[in-house]
Amino acid sequence: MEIKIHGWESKGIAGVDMEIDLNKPGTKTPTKIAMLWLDSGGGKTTTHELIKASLTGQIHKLEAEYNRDDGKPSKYERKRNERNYKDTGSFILKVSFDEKYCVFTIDFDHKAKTVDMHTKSAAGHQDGYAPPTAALTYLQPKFVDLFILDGEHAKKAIKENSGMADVTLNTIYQLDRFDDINDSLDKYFQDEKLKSRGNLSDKAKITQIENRITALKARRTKLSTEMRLNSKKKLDLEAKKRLLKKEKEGINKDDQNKRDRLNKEVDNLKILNDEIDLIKKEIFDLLKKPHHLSKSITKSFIKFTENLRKLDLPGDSAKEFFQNLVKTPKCVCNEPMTDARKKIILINSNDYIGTAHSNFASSMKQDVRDFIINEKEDSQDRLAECHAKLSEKNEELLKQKRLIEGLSKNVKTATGRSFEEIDNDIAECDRIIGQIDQFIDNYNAPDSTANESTRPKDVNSYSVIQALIKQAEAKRNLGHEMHNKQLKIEEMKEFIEEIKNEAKEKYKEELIVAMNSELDRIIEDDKVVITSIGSDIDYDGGSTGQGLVIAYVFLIKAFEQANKANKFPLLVDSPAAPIGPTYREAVALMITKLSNQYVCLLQGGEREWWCETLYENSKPDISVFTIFKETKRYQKYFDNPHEKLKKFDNSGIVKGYDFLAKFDTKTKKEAKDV
Amino acid sequence: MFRVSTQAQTWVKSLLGQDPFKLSIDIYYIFCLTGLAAEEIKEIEGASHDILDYFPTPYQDHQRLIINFLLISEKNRLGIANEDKDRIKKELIEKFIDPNINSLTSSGRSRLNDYANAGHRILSGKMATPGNAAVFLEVWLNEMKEIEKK
Repeated sequence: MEIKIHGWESKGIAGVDMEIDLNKPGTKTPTKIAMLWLDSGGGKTTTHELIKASLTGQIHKLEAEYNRDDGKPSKYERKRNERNYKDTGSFILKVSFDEKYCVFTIDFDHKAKTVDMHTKSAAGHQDGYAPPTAALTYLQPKFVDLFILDGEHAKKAIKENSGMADVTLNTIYQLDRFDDINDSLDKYFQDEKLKSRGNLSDKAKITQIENRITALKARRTKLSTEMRLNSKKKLDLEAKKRLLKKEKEGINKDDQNKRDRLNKEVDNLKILNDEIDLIKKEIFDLLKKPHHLSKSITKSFIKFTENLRKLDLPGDSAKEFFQNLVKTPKCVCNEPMTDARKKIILINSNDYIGTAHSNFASSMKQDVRDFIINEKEDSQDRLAECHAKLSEKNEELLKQKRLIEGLSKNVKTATGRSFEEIDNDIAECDRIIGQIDQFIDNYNAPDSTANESTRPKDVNSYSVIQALIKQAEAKRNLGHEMHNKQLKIEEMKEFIEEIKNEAKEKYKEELIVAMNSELDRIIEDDKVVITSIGSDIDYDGGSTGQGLVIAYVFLIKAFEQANKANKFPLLVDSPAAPIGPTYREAVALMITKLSNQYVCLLQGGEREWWCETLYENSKPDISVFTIFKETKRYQKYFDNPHEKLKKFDNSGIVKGYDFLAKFDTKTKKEAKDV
Repeated sequence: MFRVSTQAQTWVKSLLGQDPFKLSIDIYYIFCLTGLAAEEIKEIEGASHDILDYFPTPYQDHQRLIINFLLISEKNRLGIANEDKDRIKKELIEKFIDPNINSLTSSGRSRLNDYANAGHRILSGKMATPGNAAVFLEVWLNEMKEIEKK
């Protein structure tokens, strides 16, 4: 899509009346560059806003001006006391979309406080806003904001945390189309949801789900009750254990000797256990080297290593050597590296392993030498000794436990019960506490094996049952089919978002390179380097005066990159005001090198360092207009009119750069020359 | 990922935490040694329990010996001839060793899991559910002697 602005006419609205024809004389092609100078009050901002409204069809904002909250008249209406006040006005914009002409007219009725629009194109005359359908994508307000812009808007792109850079890229590269796809998926899902409400098969499934929810909730209540009861039971059992232990302390004086013997044997049991712990540790440490298991395993390690040596594995040469060799013009034998030789070398290279595998295999062989062949102690024998000792000690332990059991039976406490009886009671308490602990563990732990097909009675975890209830409720609310559909749509949306972000990152990388190259060319001193583009543009170096330069470069390069097939005009209100004089020439020069149409609306002191560069570097493909109001200040231009002066109801327009260059200069002498 | 079947994990539940089986991989290692010595594999069927995807510090000094043991057992199990350099290279070294992490490839870990699972199957077929680590070690060493004899 190529959009061009051919001109506009403004009558009876705020500012001056004007007819602007941007076409080259005798053609229907606009000049590449157009400069229009309007003094303050000349309607520069109005023109800018009405061009935008014409392209987007957003005239409701214009009409809303007639009903302002502050009671003031519409900003598009002339002051009532002006000599040339009119009850009605109009703004006509002439554009082309892929060389198809289109004229948008906005009619203002200041008396009736209404705004109407009509469109004239190859399709004929139509009421309202009716651009070609193919152009609609590019005429959305947020898109038009990027090519019909004011200097301040462009500068927002580099303002910290403005989010402007991100929004701009989404629009220019049309990445927000991905969001549109996601919105469509959401809409599709909402529509399906509405449709599915009357679906009978879903209704049957919903009943099933409701039954499951009831069963799950019953299970949840049961688990909670059991948890409460078990917690109380555990406290009671622990209290009982404390009492039982106390009971054991109440010694029957007649049994003191038996009690002393028992204590001694319990101490011996502890010593025995400590000895066993040491043996177990030694055994496990020995087992860390697997060949300690047996002499035959040791032999198999040595045999395998020896076998690798015989096979020349890993070998002195690595596969990579041959893979690199075939890339050389000559073989090691100085013969030319022909395709046939390459093929044979590559086939034979498969007999060798890669360097990394080769290094690992060498280390493996070295380990066999260090840990097995050169091992000084006979660790297999040591393991056998430990094993024998462990058997012996385990046997002793068993005997010791039996002895203690026997002694326990004979030692009576003050209550007349034996230690054994009390210990049995304690063991029973421990057994039940163990069961309760198991229940509590299950209750608190998430069960990763539970899923929607798990039977409610098999679920023991509270968090799992909660999750299953939530899941089933979500499913019931949506219906079974819809639930699956929703999951799939969420997956698709994630995938689309991923593509969008990847594409954006790629565009950003390319854009940073293009921007830095352009900035390097434009800014000779005080270099600026774009470091990243996030929600705004980050850069190193530079001064505040360069802000707009960066913003321009950003917009222009982004358009250049994105619009391989599309071309949009760049119409800028006050393009040079925010740029310091140092960079004006450089930016103006950069603009002349754009392939897009460029129209700027200038005022006051924006001429210096800007107009001459634009003109000199683009003539004759440039239109220049000086537009001034019929006021006391400019009366002289009406009294002694320039040969090209075109007079309107409240204004005059002179076309040509020479007039603008000398227009309203400060010295009286220069003004006289004009 | 090194893993054992849920069945195996349940079988050794009482041992976990007892000296010298402080880490989950300690019991896994015992299963591995059993399977590797017996040169038997069995794929895990049904639910499994993930342990780790690397050899933890206590095993790192000797992990190459464990990998070597895997290659030896696999060579014997598959009946790869000593002279068959190509199979040793492709079916053992390149398939099971990931030199970039100085450890096993995903296939290597998976095959070691098969040996460990076979180890559990062998032991659970010959021993009652273990409760005491010292008794388990003693009985296990006896079983290893039996396996050696075969």
